[in-house]
Amino acid sequence: MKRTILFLLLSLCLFVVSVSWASEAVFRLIERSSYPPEDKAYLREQVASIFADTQDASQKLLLKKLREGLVKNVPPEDLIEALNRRKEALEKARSLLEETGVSGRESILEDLVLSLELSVSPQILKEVLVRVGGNPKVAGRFVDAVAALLEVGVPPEKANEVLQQVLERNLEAREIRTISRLLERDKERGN
Amino acid sequence: MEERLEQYLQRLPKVEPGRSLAPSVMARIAERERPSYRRYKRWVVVFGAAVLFVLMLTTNLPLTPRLELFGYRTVRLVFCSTVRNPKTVAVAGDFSDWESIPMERIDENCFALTLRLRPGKYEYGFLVDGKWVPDPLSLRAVADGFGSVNSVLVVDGDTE
Repeated sequence: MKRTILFLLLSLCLFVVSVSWASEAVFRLIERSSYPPEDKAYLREQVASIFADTQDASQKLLLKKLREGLVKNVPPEDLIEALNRRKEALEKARSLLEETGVSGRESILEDLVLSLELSVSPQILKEVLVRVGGNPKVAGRFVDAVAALLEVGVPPEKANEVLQQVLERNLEAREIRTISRLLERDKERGN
Repeated sequence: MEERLEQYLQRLPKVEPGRSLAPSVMARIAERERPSYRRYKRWVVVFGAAVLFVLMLTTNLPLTPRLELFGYRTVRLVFCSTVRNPKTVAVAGDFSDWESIPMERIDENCFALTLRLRPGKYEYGFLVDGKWVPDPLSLRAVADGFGSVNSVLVVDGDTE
């Protein structure tokens, strides 16, 4: 009995320590940055409200964006705007995964967020996820292929078109990859 | 003398010790107090290991062992600045958790850094005297949401 109580107490301490550590990590990042004190105060306040009620994976992606903004020393208002956009994209991505029954692995979530942030139509992304029938591996391949298209410089509206055609013709993710690979090679040759 | 003692002992009647002998002897031996730190030693070790594990998962402290045995690829990043003779050039990206890593100067305007990375996709860029500059040699790039661009590095899983 004594041991059980001791164990429960230790577990509780551990939980409290880990939760407070995780929330403090965000503020420590801001404190460490090279912003002036008034900007730091503004960032702390805004970031606290953005990070409230976020789940683990979402928090990771938001934290990543925050670190990126801090290292680039972007104006605080732009940083908060980008974090809000990311939070919105995360919520959209999560609801897309829920609606289509694809289990939200972190890599799919990240690629989905990237596509949404770059204005790929949520409707088309949903069609893709529905088509793969809840298979996270295939969904991941598709979403990654779309992200690759955007990365090689295809404008979002063209990416939407390509994706639509791939779906209509019942093609696979590798066809999108082939397109992005060809575009990449073209860029390499300087065309 | 020894022989006589032996004979005497052999002549003694054989008596079985009573059942109460062992408990009565043990009752007279006082139980030794275990030092308190020993009593909780196991719990302290378990608690310490749990704290370490949680810190490894939830923080960026350099606690996770980097087992560079399998799956890592060597990537060399080279950046030649258009700004003449920059003071500092660093690289930051997904692979460094967006912490800047200073690059080594290889000539007046060029800097290099060798990284060991797992296969995957990484967003990155250079900080030239604190100013963000995407990699001009990268074939992939993506808008960063701050009005600039991140280069994208794809580390292939097939070849070293």
